[in-house]
Amino acid sequence: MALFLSTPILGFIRSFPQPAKSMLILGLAIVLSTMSMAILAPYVAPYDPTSRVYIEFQPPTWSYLMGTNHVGMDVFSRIVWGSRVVLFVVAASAAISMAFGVPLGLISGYYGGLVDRVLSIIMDSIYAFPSLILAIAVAAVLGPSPLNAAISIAIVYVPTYYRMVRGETLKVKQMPFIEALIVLGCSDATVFKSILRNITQTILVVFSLSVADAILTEAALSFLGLSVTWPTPDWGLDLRSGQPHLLNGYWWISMCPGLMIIALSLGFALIGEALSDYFSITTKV
Amino acid sequence: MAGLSRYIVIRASLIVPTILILYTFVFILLRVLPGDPILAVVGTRYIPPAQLEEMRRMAGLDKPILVQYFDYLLGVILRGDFGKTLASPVGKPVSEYLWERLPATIELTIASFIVASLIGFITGVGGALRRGSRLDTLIRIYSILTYTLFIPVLGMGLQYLLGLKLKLFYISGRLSPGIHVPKVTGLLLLDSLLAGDLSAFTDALRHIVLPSLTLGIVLSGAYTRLIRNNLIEVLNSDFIRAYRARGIPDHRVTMYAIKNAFIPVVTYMGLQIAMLLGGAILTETTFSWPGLGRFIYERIEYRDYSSIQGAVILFAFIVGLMNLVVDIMYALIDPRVKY
Amino acid sequence: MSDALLEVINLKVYFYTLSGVVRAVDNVSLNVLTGEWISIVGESGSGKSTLAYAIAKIVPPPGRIVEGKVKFMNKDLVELSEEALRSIRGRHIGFVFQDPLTSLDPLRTVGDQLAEVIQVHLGVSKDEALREAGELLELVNIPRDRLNYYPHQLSGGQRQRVVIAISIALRPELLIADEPTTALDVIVQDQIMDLLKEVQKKGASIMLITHDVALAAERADRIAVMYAGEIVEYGSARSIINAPLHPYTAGLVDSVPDLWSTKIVKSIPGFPPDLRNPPLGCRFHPRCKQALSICTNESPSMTAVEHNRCVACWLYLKR
Repeated sequence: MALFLSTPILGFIRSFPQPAKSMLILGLAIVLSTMSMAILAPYVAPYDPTSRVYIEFQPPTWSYLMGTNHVGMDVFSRIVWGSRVVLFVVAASAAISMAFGVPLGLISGYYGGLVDRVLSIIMDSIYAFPSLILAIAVAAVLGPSPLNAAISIAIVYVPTYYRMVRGETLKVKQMPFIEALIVLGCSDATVFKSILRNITQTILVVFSLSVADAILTEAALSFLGLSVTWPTPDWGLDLRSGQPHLLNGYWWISMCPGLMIIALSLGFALIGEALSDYFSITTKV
Repeated sequence: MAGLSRYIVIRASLIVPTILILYTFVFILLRVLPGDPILAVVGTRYIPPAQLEEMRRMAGLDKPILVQYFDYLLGVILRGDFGKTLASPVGKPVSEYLWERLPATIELTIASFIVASLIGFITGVGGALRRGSRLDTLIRIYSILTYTLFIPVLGMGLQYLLGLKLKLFYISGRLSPGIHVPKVTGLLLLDSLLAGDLSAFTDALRHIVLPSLTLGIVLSGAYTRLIRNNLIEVLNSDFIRAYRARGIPDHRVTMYAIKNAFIPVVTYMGLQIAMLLGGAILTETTFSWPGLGRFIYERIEYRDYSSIQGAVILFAFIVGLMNLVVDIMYALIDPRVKY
Repeated sequence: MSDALLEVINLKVYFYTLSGVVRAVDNVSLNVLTGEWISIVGESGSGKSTLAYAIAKIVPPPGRIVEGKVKFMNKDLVELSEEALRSIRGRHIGFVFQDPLTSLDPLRTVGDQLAEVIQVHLGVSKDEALREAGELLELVNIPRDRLNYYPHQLSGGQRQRVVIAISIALRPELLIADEPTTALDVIVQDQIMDLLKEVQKKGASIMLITHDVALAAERADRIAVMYAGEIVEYGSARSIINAPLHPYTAGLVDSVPDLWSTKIVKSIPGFPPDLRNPPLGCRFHPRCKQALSICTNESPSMTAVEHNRCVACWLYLKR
């Protein structure tokens, strides 16, 4: 089954020109291994992430791959379990954002008129506002929890999907085959499905790049204490709690989760860049 | 010049709906979201109902929503009143904190902007001029990498390397204890120079380097890419070829190309302001920089949503204002814009 | 032949693209005498613009001059250093590009760009240069006060006249104009052509690049016809138009509509060849009604058939 699936996908990857191919492969490697780590957490993590397993401040060794933190917990196990939170929040927020942004963008682009103008102004204003500050404001009111964090991030990224889908819809709307569908009397839903099929490429690119961004926003929220609470393992949280100890020389406590954040974001960004190269899409500022 | 004043007024009036929309959005978000903010502040302590009511009254939550909306808006516009704090200490005007912390954020923002623009400019132009070379590939990797650098990680890394190990710069705060600068603008670098206090200036400088470097590097990547792509396009355009056909020396032609490539970058700077302000929160928290961003973080811990709202609204105003400034600058630079 | 101002000898310009090597200019030779107007005619893709760029050595990458000589004023431009070339460009060779809006810097005034050429090559002061610039504008029938205008504030015709003013500012011996009127309307076209004629009368040689046969012939002394990177015929303008020898030239001449006649306008069937893989033998043979069997195998070389008339076609070569 896996073999059957892999061949067309492998063919697709092989058809990429360099340097996009290397970027895609590297990005996929990072993302897929993190996902596997999250799914297989109980089997991959050597220790219980929330209990003391050894002496504090142990530097990385073979039995404690990333050392122990200020309470004696195994940093590597915390990283492994922490990946679950990150991926959950990011996946949930992406799903919510798209669920609102894509249909709204379609409707706005297709029907135009007053609805379009009102929505555009609202979305543009949100888009122009610093995303992190907005996310913080929302999360602060909702209270700290991964789900609330996901909701706040989702709200912030709705305009991104909206603008992109709306722009593409406007372009695709002009094309003759859409007119043909309308003339033939197809329902709006059918036309929408047709439009969607054509803008899948752009959606994919924007998805990868905004997930890369959302990971950083999620890390920021948990860094500021607006997501999970101690002692739940979470990369942003650990980064923060490790900061005072960094300045005493115990760098692995905060730098390991910190570098994981960057690595995962980079993974998605590389995929997005590679896809954008391949589809020759220029993401406008 | 009359044309310019008219242009400014027109552009300014376009900012107003944007700010209003943002205000409305934030307002709706904070008032309509589930979760009683007062209870959030109170937490698990027992507070007698009468006191709870008092707190509600102070936060203006007892009035109907529409009244609250206009009350607050007019309060901000007419009196600069951003409401009162809800916790630790209770009842203090939020605006006091805002004005106290604002200069620190502005100073950090300006310094980071300079760093980001400089790095972005040098790498962008360098990459475009040496297109296809190893340097160019490195520069392209740089622009992708900065996109994903998490501010606290870079900040902590710099703190560790440049602050602790090499002991070149300070890793937190704005001034070393014991140093005092008379407040004129609130921008320490400026004020210390105005007071002629060179040692205070150096001290403030050594404090601002790491945070502005952190925020600047993270934001420079987008610049790099924008400038590089624009410059490559311009270098291939007809008028550059025409310049060469007239025998104009290469360094001059490059200068003209850069000037042309730079114009769309100016509009991007407006967007940058939003990103700078967003990044300021993380930077200020990492470096204990006493600005608006850090203020928001502190208030989060106290669940003082009233202060948070005030700070967010202030941010909205600043973003709108900065966009206006960028618009005007753009009109001045590009002769094709009519005013 | 040594009083020729410009001699192009066996010039080859190839473009090294990802999909193959495009032989844009393949073994072209021609000369331009002092004070004469020569028009280079051909379809788009024939290599005529590339030829013009190659003469001024401003061929854009991935193009490169692979072989050949360009003798101009006793120097071979192909061998010359960039330094030396810079003093020739603008000063002895003027260039007019096709689209006047995009060939002027949008951020600088017209006066600045005019004065700059003068300053750079003659080393005079800015004021003097601006004074010269004002006179040049009047020479091309533009009021002097337009010196302070930006390119987008002028009309299309005015812009092109500014470009011409820049190109003649230093009284170059050779003025190359690449489709100078294509982006303009017909009436303005005439004005520009007249202006170029004025320039010729003052002693300069004009090389006009165009796809418009009628335009090419109007004021030219000689015409060179280019097809698929090669010159297929050249001679005096009158003889080419009245009695075209090469089948392609004949096709071009036939395709010009004539206001006064009722003859049916014929176009040449087929498409120009892919220059990465041009046909063997004569490059025109796939579209030629008079093709002989030798045309498919061997490439005809340029031979003189009359005084001042050359053609590269097996129909006229002794075999």
